[in-house]
Amino acid sequence: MKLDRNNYEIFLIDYIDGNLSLDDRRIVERFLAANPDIAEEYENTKEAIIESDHISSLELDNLYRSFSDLPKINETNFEEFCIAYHEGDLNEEEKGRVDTYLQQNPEAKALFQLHKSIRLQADLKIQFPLKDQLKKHLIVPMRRYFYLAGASAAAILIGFGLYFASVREKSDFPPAVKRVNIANTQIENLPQSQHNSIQLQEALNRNETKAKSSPVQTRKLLAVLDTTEQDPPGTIVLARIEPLVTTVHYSMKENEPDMPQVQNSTNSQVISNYQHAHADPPPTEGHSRVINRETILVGALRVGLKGYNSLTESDLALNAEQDREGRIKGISLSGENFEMERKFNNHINKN
Amino acid sequence: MTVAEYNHAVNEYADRIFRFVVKNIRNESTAQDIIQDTYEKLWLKHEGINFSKVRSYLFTTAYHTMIDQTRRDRKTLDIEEAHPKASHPQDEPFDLKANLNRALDQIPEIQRNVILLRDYEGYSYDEIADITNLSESQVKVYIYRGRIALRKLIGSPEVLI
Repeated sequence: MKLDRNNYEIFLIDYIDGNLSLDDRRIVERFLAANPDIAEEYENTKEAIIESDHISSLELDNLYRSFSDLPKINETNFEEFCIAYHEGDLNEEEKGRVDTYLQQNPEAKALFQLHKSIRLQADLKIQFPLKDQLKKHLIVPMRRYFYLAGASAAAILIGFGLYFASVREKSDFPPAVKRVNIANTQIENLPQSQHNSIQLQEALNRNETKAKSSPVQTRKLLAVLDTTEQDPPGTIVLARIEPLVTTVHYSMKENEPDMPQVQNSTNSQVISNYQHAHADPPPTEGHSRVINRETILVGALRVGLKGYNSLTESDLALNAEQDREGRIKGISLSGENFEMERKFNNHINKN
Repeated sequence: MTVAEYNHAVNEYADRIFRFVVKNIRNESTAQDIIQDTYEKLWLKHEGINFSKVRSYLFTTAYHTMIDQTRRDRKTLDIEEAHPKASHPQDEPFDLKANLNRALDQIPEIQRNVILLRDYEGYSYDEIADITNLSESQVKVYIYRGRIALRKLIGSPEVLI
């Protein structure tokens, strides 16, 4: 059947449905080019399809074939060619046809240029403001600050001598424990509690060095009193989980020797301090001064350790719990929304 | 993926995903939540994700989180009120970028998504198809539709002359 103005609708339907051979499609396209009124009708039909939510196979087929098979660019399909050109969907031969069309139809250049111009560009000023809270960090033990009350009971006793009149036996100081109970670490009442899907216990698993906590949790988890089997007996580590920036202040009384003064410490400073604490000879300036480690814990307990979490803008406090005889039977670290404690099997005598 | 690679993914992609989401939903607070959710999901699975796939994972996760969010919000959002008209005021000089941004707000969501992925990130059709769960052909059609819609909203081609 020969295509003419009396039967073109049948051909167009088959054309739109993608049921025509390549040769027949070209016959239809030549017919449309020769009959602008019917071409307009065809465009309206195609527009109607495009406006629908459903993408039919014929539409896809039409779009694909229009760029690969259509032998001629016309006013009707030129815009799609413009898009295809700028999307990089045309081969060199097809781009050459577009260029030729533009030379022959200068009025089409405006549309071509407009499509070239309407490419979206990201606004680099828009930045995610909470990147630091997304990041994960290693737990950095702050042994420098506490270095914890001493590596051994004997050393502690010697150290105590600097501040306290009496010296206790080695057994008075708590031995190392495998695991500190942090089961009661609470993060209740957080404003974004829906994020708290990960158990802190997992995050603080004894054998792990990575904090497996969500960003929100990480922001709120302040510190934990901790120790490891590898630490010297009596060691208590105030471990930090970044990106917290926990500033630790030692409030000292007069006539007491200097203790580390750490203010507004950053993560890098904490690490630096830790490194300094292990340097030999130790640095002598500022907060990096090393004193008898044995004095620090008891000294801190005595004067009251104060800390500050700059992210949550809340205070931290290290407190001692005494038994009836005035010996330290446990210590606790408390802050906003949490309190952690450690009990000593062997109470520490402060005097 | 290691912790270092995860952190690198934060540095490298958080801003870019944020821009993509903000541009779509036009709400920075919600966008921040979506980015946090996205990275939380990444962290949960980071040990099983190859770093070479992280960009795709992040955009895919953010995209679907965003779609879920917008579907929830759609019940209460009056689109017409939320989206200004694209046409520029007649008494002001033509600003293509501003007009384009206004027009972007008015085209269908799916068209906006694929065009943003295409233009912002330079994703190919098949990459966008993977992110959006569409076929490659559908992606192409939506991009073409979106381009035409943007052009029509911006105005006649002579606006640039």
